[in-house]
Amino acid sequence: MSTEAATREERKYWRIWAILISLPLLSLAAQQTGMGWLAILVSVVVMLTSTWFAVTTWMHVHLEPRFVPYLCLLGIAAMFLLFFMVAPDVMSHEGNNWQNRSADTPAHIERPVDPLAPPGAAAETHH
Amino acid sequence: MSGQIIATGRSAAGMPTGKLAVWMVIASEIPIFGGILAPYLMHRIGHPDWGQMAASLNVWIGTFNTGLLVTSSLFAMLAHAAAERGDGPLAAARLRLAAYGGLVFLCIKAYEWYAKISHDHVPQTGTFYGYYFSATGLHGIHILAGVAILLAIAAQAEKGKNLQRVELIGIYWHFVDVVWFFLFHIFYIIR
Repeated sequence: MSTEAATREERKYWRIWAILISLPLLSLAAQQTGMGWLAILVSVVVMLTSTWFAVTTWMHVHLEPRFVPYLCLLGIAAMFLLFFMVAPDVMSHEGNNWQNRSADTPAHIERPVDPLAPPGAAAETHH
Repeated sequence: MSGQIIATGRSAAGMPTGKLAVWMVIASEIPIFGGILAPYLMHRIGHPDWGQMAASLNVWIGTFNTGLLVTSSLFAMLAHAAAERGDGPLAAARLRLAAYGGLVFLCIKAYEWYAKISHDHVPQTGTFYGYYFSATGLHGIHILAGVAILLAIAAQAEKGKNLQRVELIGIYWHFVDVVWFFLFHIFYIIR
């Protein structure tokens, strides 16, 4: 690689860096508006865009043999499989011949530990 | 021939052996981090009250750490560019800068953990903190391993040895960066 080409390449990396630095600031700005839906929307867009930039321009996944992106997609597929196999049971409170009664009263599950409570008291209050 | 011959490529895979190994590691890491983040999202949707706990995280520190890791990744990329030109000492210097970025990230993360723990926000406090400490802890272990490898490869690169490894650690380091993008948004931004 000639010196000129190398300099051009390095400038490109700096440009990508500037983009990747700016994108989280965008998410931060969206969060500071106090609009929850806007923060979620911007976060999803920023997460996916940042990942795309990092994977394509820094990790150069498109220059690797075809099986490499497929290998990574396999990992992502396993993640989605886990999500959609477990989600119906975790996110629903009832189904075919079953009912998760404790999930309907989350206060009994999610309770902060009282630092002043005597040892063992926290465990008793959870049941 | 008196020199030791090291096989660095596999014709079947069509890529250097080391790079194949790095991509295999990354492909296996995706379900590991996904295995924490997917259940977290499941529970998060069902628990709007977790937003209050998420609000206890310092978003400014999280943003600063994101910038730090992105900058560290840039130096890993610049080290790769230097290694491609055969400039070992410059590649080593840039790798060390990337490693120092990772170390500062870890120090800030340790401070964050200390602040949380000193306010009794521990994994036993609630499931939210269980997820927070598990995910950021696992990520921190990856950063620590990355820093150690960055420094080891920098020591070799300085002598002009194994310059192909500069690219390999760079790929891993960018992956750790990408994971942080997700952790930052899911824990710090979405409340």
